[in-house]
Amino acid sequence: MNAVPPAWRVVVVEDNHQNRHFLESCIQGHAQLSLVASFATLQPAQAWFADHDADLLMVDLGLPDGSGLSLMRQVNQRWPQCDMLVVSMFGDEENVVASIEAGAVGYVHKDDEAADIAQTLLAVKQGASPISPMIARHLLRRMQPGAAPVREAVVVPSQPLPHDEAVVALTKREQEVLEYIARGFSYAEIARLQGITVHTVQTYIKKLYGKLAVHSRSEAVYEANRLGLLNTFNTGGGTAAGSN
Amino acid sequence: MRRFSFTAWLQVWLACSGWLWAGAACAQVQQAGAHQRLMADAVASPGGQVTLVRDVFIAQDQGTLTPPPESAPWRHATLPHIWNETHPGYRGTMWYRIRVRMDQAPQSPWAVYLPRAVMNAQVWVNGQPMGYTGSMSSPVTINWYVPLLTSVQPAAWVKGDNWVHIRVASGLYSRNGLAPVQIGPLDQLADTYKHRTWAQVDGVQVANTMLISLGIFMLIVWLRDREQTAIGFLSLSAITWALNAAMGVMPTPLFEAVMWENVSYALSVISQLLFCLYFFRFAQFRRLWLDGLIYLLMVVMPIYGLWTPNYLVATVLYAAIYVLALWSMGLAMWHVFRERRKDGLWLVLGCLTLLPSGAHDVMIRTGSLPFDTVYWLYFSGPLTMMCMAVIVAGDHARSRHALNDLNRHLAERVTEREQALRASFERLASLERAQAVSAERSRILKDMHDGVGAHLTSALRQLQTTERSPVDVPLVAQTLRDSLDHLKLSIDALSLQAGDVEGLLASWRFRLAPRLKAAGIELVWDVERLPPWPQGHSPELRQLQYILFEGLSNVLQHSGANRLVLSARDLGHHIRVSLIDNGQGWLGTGQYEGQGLQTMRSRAQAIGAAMVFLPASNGGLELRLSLPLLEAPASSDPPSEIPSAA
Repeated sequence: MNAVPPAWRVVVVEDNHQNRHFLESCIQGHAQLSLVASFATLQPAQAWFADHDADLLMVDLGLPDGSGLSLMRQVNQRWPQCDMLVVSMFGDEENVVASIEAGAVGYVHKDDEAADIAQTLLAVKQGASPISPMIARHLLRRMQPGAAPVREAVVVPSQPLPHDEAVVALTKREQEVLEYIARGFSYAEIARLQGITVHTVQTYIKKLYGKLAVHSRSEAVYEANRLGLLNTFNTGGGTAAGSN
Repeated sequence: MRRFSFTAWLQVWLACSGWLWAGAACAQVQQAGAHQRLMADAVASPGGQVTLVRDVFIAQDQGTLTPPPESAPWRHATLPHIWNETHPGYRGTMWYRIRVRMDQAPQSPWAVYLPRAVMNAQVWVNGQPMGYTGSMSSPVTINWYVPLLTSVQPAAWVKGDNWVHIRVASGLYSRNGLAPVQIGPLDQLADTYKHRTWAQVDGVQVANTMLISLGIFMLIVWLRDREQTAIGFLSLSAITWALNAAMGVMPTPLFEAVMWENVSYALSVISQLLFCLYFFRFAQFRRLWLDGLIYLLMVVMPIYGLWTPNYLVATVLYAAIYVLALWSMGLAMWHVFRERRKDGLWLVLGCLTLLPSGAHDVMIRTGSLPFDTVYWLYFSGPLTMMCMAVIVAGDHARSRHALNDLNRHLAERVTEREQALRASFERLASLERAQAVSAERSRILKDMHDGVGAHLTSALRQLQTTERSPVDVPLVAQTLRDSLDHLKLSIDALSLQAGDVEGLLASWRFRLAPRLKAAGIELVWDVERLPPWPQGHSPELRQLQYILFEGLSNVLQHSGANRLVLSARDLGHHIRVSLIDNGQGWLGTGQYEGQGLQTMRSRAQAIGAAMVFLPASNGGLELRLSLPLLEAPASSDPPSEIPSAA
């Protein structure tokens, strides 16, 4: 499987062969995407990434021989330019947030349409990061001052966090964008309400994901929270209206 | 039973024996010193023994301040001499004459020792007055119970006959008289005098000091606990007893002598009657008439003493008190034996000390015992009070121990109850957890039944084709997609916090937006900040999801709309959620009139929400849900529901 520039090189790791074939077909069906590798288990994928680079990685979390999170952490460390998306059945916040902390920049649903999946991959490479309102609410809840650290069961810290490392700091605009998403507004509506472009909104989300990945452990998030750097989404208000 | 063992009785006996021996010792004081009895004109040797003089000559006062002359009407008398026996009713001064014949004058001081002279006495030797012993005229110094030792220098004695005159002044109520006199060398009489002074003056003062301290202490105890009336009587009895004793041996009255004597007598009577009251209370024997009688005696007896100062009557009354005391003590001791009263032995000991002492002292007063006999009650009274104080202290100690035991047991019981309560709470919490799990399981099962299960069953039926009805693949796909969407909404509902309608709507949009997009319907998002919905717990939120899901399905399937508005407003009394399409209105909804609409209505009713369909301004249809925020139903914005939807 050789990379074909200038198409984005994509790797798929999914144990269910039907889903894997579906994902492969999504990639193969788009000219700007190129499937460079596809795996059903974790070990060969880890071995492959030891020597190979890729532009996009789609990985399932529940692999037969381990968690996709460990692969994402490895790739994030080894190939930071590789954008990773978790392949999720439900896009539930627990798994998605754990993936983001492991370095993922978003997720795709297993039941998404093929075109949507391809579109999501391309959008990610253009700076977007998929996020759901429930994930946004979850993140905001975790960032409330005084919130207890939430240790996700699937998160395994790889190494201790230095005490003097800078904590996550959201800008006011990032915070506002996150709150709009939590309330169900679309990127376009947020862009209009904030007077910015949709691309800028997407950039905020990706930056936020990046910050969470740097401080991938819940203790770091808790520390930022404890320092009162973040506001709750319950503060502020106002009526916003937009169209999709 | 242990308290009344043989050993205990032996101790009682020994105590009584000790008391008897002490009494005997006191009695011996009066006989202290080897002496010889002389007639009035006895011969004494200057270096010899102490001479006990019993035979004297007496003469009433002639109005002179010096001894009466030889020619005065002297008459013979024997010591002890009680005035009432030879001169009934006489009060004033009596002279006693003793002739002491010496072969030669002594070389060392001699002394004339008067163990007891009532009320006061002064010694003259060979016509010369010796040491001053206090006032001999009214008010006479109260030396009725004070032994007098008059030192006589050797120069005052002469070889041959020496005349010793003793002038005795009477008191008001006392039994006036003179006890046998001792004459002899000072160094031999000094010890005798010292012992008797201790027994009659110093020792009495020490006992009084102790007694009044004890009385005050018990008084304080009683004042802190007024229910302990027995202790109150005991304390007042001790104090009045001590005051009476102090007044009795105090030489100089602090106020007028008559009043002094009466006050002393009143204190004596009151003290003994209070003691009787204590014994009655101790025996738990309480009769109003008896209390009244005792209180009456406390008033009457001192008044009588003031009115007619008669020694005999006073003595009889005193004996009456003694009888009363006997009764009360008998009851108290019987109570001790009957009830096995703790520390009761001390009461028995006190009574056995007091009763003989009282009898002894009454015998002195009635003349059954020698005139100069030492009174025992001055010592036995305080001793008895101490025994009673030991009982009080014992009661107090037992109360403290009982309280400590009670506290300890209470603490143990509190700990046990705490543990039991904690265990109960744990059981309750466990039960609640089990109930919560059960409720959640029921909710999930209902979700699966109403959502995924229903859709999968539908899909299965759709796949069961016949020749006349081939498989409608898009329909099956849509049914399966509905199933997946329900599943996702269920998962989102698990993360929703109670009352979070805003989050529910956001989730609804996120999950169902692809469906709208596929149908080419534009969604207008008009959701403002919403307050928490008080009734919006997990089951209620899930029902709301179903209603909105069904509402969207209706729009997609039946309305023909290309624009859908989701509006949510906080109207104070309720949250209004509206799904407004621009489709064909109610006319186009006829197909889903039926089971679907009934289900939506049932769900709305179950969560306390008002659900109506209204004609939209743009010709479409509005599904309006009102979620109550307050108990009172929302009165504003009354919708005009389409009749057919009712």
